Parts: sequence; C-alpha cells; structure tokens
Amino acid sequence: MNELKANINLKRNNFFLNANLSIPPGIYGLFGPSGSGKSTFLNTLSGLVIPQSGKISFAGRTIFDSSKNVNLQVYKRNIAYVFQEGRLFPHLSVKKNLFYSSKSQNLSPVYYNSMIDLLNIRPLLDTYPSKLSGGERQRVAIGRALFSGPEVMLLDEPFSALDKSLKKQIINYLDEIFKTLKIPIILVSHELKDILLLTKNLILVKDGNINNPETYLELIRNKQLLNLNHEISSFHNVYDVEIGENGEINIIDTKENYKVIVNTDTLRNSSPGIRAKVSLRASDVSIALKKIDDVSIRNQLAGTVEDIISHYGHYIVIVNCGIPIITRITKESTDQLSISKGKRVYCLFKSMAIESSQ
Amino acid sequence: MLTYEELQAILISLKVASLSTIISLPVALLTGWVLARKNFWGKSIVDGLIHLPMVMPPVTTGYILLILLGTNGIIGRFLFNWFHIQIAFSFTAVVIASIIVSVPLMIRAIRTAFEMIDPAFEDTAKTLGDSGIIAFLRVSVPLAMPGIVSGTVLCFARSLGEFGATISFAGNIQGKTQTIALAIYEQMQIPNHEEITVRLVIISASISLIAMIFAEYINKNRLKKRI
Repeated sequence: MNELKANINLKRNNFFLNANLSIPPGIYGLFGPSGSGKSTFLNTLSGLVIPQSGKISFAGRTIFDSSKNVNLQVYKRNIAYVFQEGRLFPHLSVKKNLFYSSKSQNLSPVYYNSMIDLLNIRPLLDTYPSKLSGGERQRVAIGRALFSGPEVMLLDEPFSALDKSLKKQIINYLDEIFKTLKIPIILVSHELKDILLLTKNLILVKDGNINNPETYLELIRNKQLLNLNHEISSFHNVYDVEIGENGEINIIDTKENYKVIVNTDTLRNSSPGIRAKVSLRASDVSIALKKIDDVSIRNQLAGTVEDIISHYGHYIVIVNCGIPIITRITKESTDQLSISKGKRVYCLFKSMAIESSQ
Repeated sequence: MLTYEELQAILISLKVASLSTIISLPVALLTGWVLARKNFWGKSIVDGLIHLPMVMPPVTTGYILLILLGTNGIIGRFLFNWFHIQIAFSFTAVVIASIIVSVPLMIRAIRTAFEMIDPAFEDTAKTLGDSGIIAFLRVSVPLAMPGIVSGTVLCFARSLGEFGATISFAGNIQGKTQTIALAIYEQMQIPNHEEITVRLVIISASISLIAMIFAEYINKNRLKKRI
C-alpha cells in the first residue's frame, strides 16, 4: 500500500508542530484555524522545512528520519506542491511551465493532451503567466504539478485568491482530476465547504497537533470539528447529485436515490445524466415531527435521528434520511419537539437553500 | 587613420574589458546570490570589503594591489620566489586591477536583481525535481537577467575606463599594459597631440555607448515576450 506516514516534531520559537498520521492514497482535507500549522506541515512533507525529529516515509521509502540522519532533498522526494498563488515561472510560457519537470518528458501524449483539455488550458499554451487570470494561473499550476509525475500531491489554499465562480470552476476541475489519481493528495483550505466539495476525509490541525484523518461526520460526532470551528453556521451538507430523466435532481452514492427538488438555474437547465455537487447549510435545515403539506418548503425527507450534539446553546442533529443530513437547531426547539436518538422526524429545507457547485 | 600604438591600446582595452567581464561574471553571480539570499555572521563586513574598491580612490586600490601582489609584496614575493611569476606591471596586472575595480558594480546590480525575485520560485522549481544549482540556473538566473545584463555592461564599461588602479599596479607600458585610458592620458601630456587624444576619446565613448545600447536591446527583447 502506498501509504504516506509522518511522525514528526518541529519547534520554532513559540510554535510546536506534532504530527502523527498515516494516510493511504486518496484525497484529504487539511483543516484548521489560521496559524495552526497547516502550511508548515505541508512544507515539512515536501522538505522545504526540516523537522527537529521524527520520520516521514512514503510507500516504504524513508524520505526523512532524524534518528538515521536521513533527509532526502526536496527535488528527490517526488512530492508535487501547488502553492496558494500558483507560482508560475514568469519567464516561461504556459507550455514551458507545464513541461518544466524533466519527468514530464516521459508522459504519454494521450495523458497530457487529455489533462490539457480537462483543465481547459489549450488556448493558453503560448501565453505568458502575466497575461493569465487568477483561475487560469491556478489551473496551469495544477497541470504543472500533475505533469511532474508525483507520488504525493500537496495543495496549499489553491482557492484563496479566486472569486466564487472561479473557485467553483477549479473545484470542478480538481474533482475530475483527483478521480484519476491513485496517490495521497492533501488539500489545505480555511473554508470547510471547499474541502467538503472534494472530500469528506479530514485531517484536523489544532495548535500544531495533527493526527490520522477522520470523516466529516465522525469529526462532528466526536465534537473535534465543533471545538475547532465555533462558527456552526459554516457547517454544510455536501452531496453528489445527478440530473434525472425528467430534470429532477437525484442524490447519488446512496442505497436509494432520493429525489431532491433543487432550485438552482444551472442544474435545472442541465441535461439528464450530468453529475454535480450540491451543498446545503446545516442551519438551513428545519426539523418537523410530521410531513407538512400546506407549506412552501418542497424538500421534506423522512429519517431517524442518529445523533444529537450540544454546542454553545445549539444542537447539531444528524438525521439519517438514507443520506445523512446535518441540521442545526436551537435548544428550545429540541426540547419542544422532544428530539432524541432514534426518533422519526422530517428534515425540511427550501429548494433555494441548495447551492450548486457548478 | 589610427596609428599602430592607438590600435594596440584599443585592442588591449577590449581584451582587458572582455576578460575581466568574463572572469567577473561567475564570481558576481555567486556572490550576488549569496548576499541576496543567505544570512551569515560577518555578512556586513564581507559586503563592505566587496564594495570598498567602488568608493576608494582607484589609485589607492592599485597601491594596495602593489603591496599585496608586487614582486616584494606580501603574496607576490612568494609567487615570484616559488614560481617565478611576476604579476605587477604585466598584462595580468591590468586584468586584475580592472576586475577589482569593476566587479563590485556587477555584484551590486546582480544582487539587487536577485533580491527582487521571490525565493519561493526556487523552492517551486525544487518541488518539480530541480536540484539547488539547477533551480538557480533555470529560474533565478533568467529572472535576474535584466540585472545581470546591466551589471555585465557596467562592469565592461568600467573596465574600459579604468585608469588609477591600472597605472599604479600595472604601469603604462605601450603594447603591454597601455589601455585607451592610459593612452589618452599619455597623449594629453604631449604638445600638439590633441587630434589623437580626441580620436581616442571618441573611440572610448563609442565602445561604451554601443555596449549600453546592446544591453538595453537585449533586456527590452526579453521583457517584451513576458509582458
């Protein structure tokens, strides 16, 4: 198994970084407050920062081991790094940036042509970075990292410099590309929703402590995410959806295909079979004890309460409706409805509360 | 028409300026990069020593070189006694004097150019498989090229015009150490030689001007593609 293992300690003035994790190939979101050590951790993996002690290995190959004085140079680690601002070389054209790594010469034309098309950068190949927009620059940086044939890929806040529509665009490109890669990918973002659109596996960073990844739901259940992120309104439900034959939106990857009526123009006009991601804020979901007919809310899904987690005078209620729905309600509502584990309830949310990633 | 002596002075000047520029370039690239990127104990002392010839009267620089490398000098004595190498008052002395006086200009220009480049670009190149030296050559050097070209031309022009250090350390020997600047000085001392003096002044100014225009052309052409 091509696992990335890191057990490292770093001390810098008043800052400590203690990481102990092991991750198999897949996409992981590295999430934590600003200054918690996210970028420093990526830098230690890539070799740009040297930890005081510990060991880092990938697929059984040791790239750092303080006890044996092993410290593989950055250029020998084969870890691609997409930086926040893209960092394209300004003196080289897009094409020369893409094929900068000597390993890119060994790529099959079929592969790189398909990636160039997927990233939609073919018309830009002869352009210089100064003439690119933020989104174009980031797409080229992602392509350049991919063309270096990495065994591990790190992305540090790749969306931070982008506006909302460009961010959606890049997330969609990454979603497509990541499906084709069978390597560990670590993505840093301070926006939980951005990470959730790409993965539900999260690595939390708190005060420089980093442990094994857990799923989004596990981290809500064990309160780790709640303790990290006091702003409960930023919790989202993110689902993969597919446009049905009659234009309805089906949430996929579940045993049953639930029909969720979505009121987003982009998706409403999409052709059947198109896949996308939708997000729904936990605070936009209400709970009722029975189905309500005389109301304008069009999405009413029946389910069973799986978990109730109290947090700062509110409750996070996880309801299993075939798909897990995270809701946020007040303590008063919870008491009034006598919500308890195992209770049958309805999750209500307006079509307009659903946001499409497209 | 130019006389044989004038032609000799022009050729010696071009040879000295070219040689000192070629020798100075790798030294200035490395020193400029180290001064721009690295912090080490005594950096300001090293920095000061490198730039000293820029602010000292060139005659003083020549005198110090004579003390160090003259046949009876601190180092020169050993070179002469052990290897029978005499540096002072030779063509080599002209080149050395020229390098010492002009290299600080090149280092300064290159250092400033490196300081203006985000070091993160070199890190990025390393994550893409470049070793430190390759990242330096493929990323930092091309990005600093306008500064490198300017520094190179400044160094060439300064070498061409070098006078004080050369006359102190290498003398004014026709056909051996006499550069255009020294030839102009000599002709100025001789009555009715104004015509030769003016001719040499025009040639000297023209060579420097051509070098400057050439540098400007290269930099503009490089930048045109990127902007």
